[in-house]
Amino acid sequence: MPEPAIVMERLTRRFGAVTAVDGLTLEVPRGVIFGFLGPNGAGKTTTVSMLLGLLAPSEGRASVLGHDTALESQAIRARVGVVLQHPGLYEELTVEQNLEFQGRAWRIPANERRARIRELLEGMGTWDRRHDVVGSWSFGMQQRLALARAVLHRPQLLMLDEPTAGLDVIAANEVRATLVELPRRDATTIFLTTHNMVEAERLCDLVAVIRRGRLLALGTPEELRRSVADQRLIVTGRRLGAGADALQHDPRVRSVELHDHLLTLHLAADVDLADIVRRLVTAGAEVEEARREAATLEDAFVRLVESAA
Amino acid sequence: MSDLGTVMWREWRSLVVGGRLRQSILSVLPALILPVFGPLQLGPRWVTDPILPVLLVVATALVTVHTMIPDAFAGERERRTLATLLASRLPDRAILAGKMAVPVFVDVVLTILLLGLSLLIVNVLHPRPEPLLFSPAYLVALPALSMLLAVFTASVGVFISLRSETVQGAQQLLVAVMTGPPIVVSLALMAIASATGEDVPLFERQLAPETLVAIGGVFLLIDVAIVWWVTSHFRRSRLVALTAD
Repeated sequence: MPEPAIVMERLTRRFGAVTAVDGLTLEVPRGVIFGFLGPNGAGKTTTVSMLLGLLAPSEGRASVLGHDTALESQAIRARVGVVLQHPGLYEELTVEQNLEFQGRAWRIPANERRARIRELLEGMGTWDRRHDVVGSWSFGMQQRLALARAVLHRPQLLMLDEPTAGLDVIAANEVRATLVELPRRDATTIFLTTHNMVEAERLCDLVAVIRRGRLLALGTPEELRRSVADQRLIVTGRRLGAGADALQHDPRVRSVELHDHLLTLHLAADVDLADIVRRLVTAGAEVEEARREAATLEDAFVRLVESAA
Repeated sequence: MSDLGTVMWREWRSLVVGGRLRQSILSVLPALILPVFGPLQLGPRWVTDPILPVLLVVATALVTVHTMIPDAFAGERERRTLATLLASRLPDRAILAGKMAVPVFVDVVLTILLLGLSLLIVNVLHPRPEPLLFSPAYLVALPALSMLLAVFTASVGVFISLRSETVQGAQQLLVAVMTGPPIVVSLALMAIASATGEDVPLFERQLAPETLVAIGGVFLLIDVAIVWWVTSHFRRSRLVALTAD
């Protein structure tokens, strides 16, 4: 059994009276894309800073790739690649110079450095634009370049803090496509913080949900979806208000949303949908279509966060 | 050493390509009044009573370093590149030393060029069989003073920049800190001279080589102390707290 890429044991960080990370205990196996999910202010960035050894924990401990974050932060940063919310590129330098700096910082020999830069830029389809000043590139292109920079030294672990925040749909998809390829190609473990549930569902093998620095759930996206044991019934038709009133206090119904001719019912997973539709019709609703939707990771996330509030 | 070279490589590139070197050189241009008009006005006294060359050294160090150091620290934070730099494998000391070394180097080179220009002018205007030069002691002392002052200004600049929200704020505070005390001392000396009716010796004659060495030694001790203090207080964790979103 290989050693986990990341181990956190009661990891805690306080800023004065505020506890940003509160007793986190979890393990991230090697070779997976691990989603670290939480709403804004949940403590995701603080956790990343502690894992990189940039912030000392107030209590508890963590190790990354077998190195203690408090004692061997330099060794950790040498083996990790990082992409933060902002690309952090030197906009006055060229594309090639930015990668060159990264290669020098990681002491990659000159020949190998040049070959690796070429390989990465050709992979992005931007080798011909290597002399462009980075400031002339779009934010999406810069974030892809930041990703290339982060993997230049072939890190064993990639830490990504909201890497697609602020990107348009196409650019975000390009970044995600690159991320999916990395673990297969380079056996890289990816620690991805995000509050984008669609992204987490598409990319992650494992996810942890935190709120106010506390771990709420840990498992595969499928396990989390199933854990909330939820399903939705989408009903279209007329006179749905009468049906909504009838089901409002039904213990099997968790919530009711009515918008004109569209009724959404949140139900437990084991509820007999035919019976619910029958009750709607009995109450006077004229049902044109009833469609079942399984809970998404976003549903599970919202349920977890709300129940912890 | 390789890490220091890497940081310097990046700082130098950004300085040259980003136009900040040009900006620094342009900001030194008003100081040309000293190496051009000093020799014009004083003639040979430019090299025999070198208080104005000393002022040139002081002004160049202040003007050069005060623009570059805040930009290297507070500027990186403003441009949001500091967090990524701190997450790199580069050691704290390499980051600090690399960022300080480039402005100090630029200052010393500019100072030597400006002093050379002043010697050229004084020799063209006042040709002698033997070229007019500073005394050997001053030829060594002026560049040395330039470096010591630049290191001192850079260290104070780092201290201020790490606590400043903006480049502009850091630059303003650095100028105030670096120019305030010398102005007060100068005014006090002038007041003393006026009250006693005697000239201030420092302004009127060359200092003996032993005095120069003593002054240089004091400056060196001050520099060692402040560089040690800045190095021991330069920690990623402190910068991370300032860069956190």
